[in-house]
Amino acid sequence: MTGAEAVGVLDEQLDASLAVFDGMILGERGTAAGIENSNTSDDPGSAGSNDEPLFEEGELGGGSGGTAVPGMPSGAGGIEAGDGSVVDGDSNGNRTEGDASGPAVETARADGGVPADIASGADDDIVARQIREAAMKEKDPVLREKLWDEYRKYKNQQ
Amino acid sequence: MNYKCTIWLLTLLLALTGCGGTTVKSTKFTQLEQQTAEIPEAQLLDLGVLGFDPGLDDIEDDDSILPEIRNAEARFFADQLADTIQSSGAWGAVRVIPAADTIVDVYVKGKILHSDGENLVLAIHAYDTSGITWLRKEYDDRASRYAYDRRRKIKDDPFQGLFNRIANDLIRERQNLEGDRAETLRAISELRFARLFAPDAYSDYLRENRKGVLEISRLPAENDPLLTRIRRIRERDYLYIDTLQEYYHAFSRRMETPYQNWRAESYSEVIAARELKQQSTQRLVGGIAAVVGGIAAATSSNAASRTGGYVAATGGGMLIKSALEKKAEAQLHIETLVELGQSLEAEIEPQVIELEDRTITLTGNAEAQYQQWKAILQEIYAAERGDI
Repeated sequence: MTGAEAVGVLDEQLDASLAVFDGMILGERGTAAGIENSNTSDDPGSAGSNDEPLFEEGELGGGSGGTAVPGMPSGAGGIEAGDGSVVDGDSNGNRTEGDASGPAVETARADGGVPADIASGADDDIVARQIREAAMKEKDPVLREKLWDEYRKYKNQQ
Repeated sequence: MNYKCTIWLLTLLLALTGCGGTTVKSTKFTQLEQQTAEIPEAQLLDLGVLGFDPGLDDIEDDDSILPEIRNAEARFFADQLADTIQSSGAWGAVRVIPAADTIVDVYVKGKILHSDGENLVLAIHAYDTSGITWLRKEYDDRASRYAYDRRRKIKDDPFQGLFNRIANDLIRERQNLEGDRAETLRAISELRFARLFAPDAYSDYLRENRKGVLEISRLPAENDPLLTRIRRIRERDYLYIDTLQEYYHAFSRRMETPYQNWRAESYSEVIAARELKQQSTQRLVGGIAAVVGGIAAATSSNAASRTGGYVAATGGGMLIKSALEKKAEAQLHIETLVELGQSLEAEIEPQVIELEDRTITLTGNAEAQYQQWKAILQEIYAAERGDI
């Protein structure tokens, strides 16, 4: 394997790991939003967050090639999915896909949310297992599909 | 002991019997200054407020201060200060951050020196990413009685003026930055982040001068591929901090109503306890002086002085008795304060524990991923250099 090929493989691993992290963060933010919403329902007089998107708008990750990183989290709301597209939130807390070219339709599920074409995972290494677990836990169908895509890509290159 | 002295003792006696405490009401309120001139995005500094030090180590023997409430206040005040600073419009993102190793451009550390509903005293230290101190100052404020008057329905926190003063001082420090210093600070933050994730590649881009201040030795190329990867990772770091922020916010919102109620109820008890303590001390001192002086006068050869001495000694004894009664009364108010505190503590303790659990879990998960990314970046760096 040449140096460039090795870097390519490592970049794939990095992408996969970032996707796992994104899934974890999405789950956490959903939990935080749930707590916030329960606060709102406990306190009818207070300003609620129901009208605010779960994720702030703005592209993340892409376009970072030549400019200084813009101001921290306020400008970095979207979650970059595996292929570089960005998943944003709508006002109902449901997330919509930022990149229409991505796989928007879920493939058939064999069992427990695992697509039919996904193998048992018995031979998964640690990275594959992490992506698989993140995909299985993910409730958002768009992001889940992105994670399964990452899983497929990762497994295919092995 | 002469006649004049006896008269003085009697006057003191009368004065102490009738004396009472005074309450100084402060109604001065500092408005939050707004940044009016637009700051270019490249010069916007991100600011992190660290969770406050609850100041529990410095608390002397004070039964009315309960650790769980202080711990909750340490988070609540940090969140309140971050919100206030963000509202000034002079900064990039303003977030409560879990630790000083989180990389932002400006850090604000706070310590609670005193907090009882009537008075709030905070020690604040602000410094930038290079390690230069911007301000180190104590801020104190006294709540107006009207702040807790429910008929007025004042929406602001009773101590919002104090937080506004801190935010205003920070704006002034920000405005004092010379030339392109803001851009330099941003670059230092980015290089610190790069150094954290790829120390082999970026450790020599920053150096520490003799004063311990970070300076840029050299800058990476804008198209540096490793830096591009690190920027993608940094976006995740922002998201992690944002997520923590949501937990802190949720905690503050859940805590706010019971906490403000506790403050309002504590306010009158704190004032009553303090006034009674003052009266008790004054009467005790005066009573002892009167008894001692009276006994001395009672041995005088002058009949009038002797009579005055007896009166003073008797009055002094009554003063001491009254002082002890005042002390007992003050103790009742302190006990009420403790009860109020325990009630609030019971209400917010589960929330504090929940917040800690969530932040520890999230931080642990993020840290595990960060370790993985560091390892991958190290391998990429080695592969690009032809080491593997």
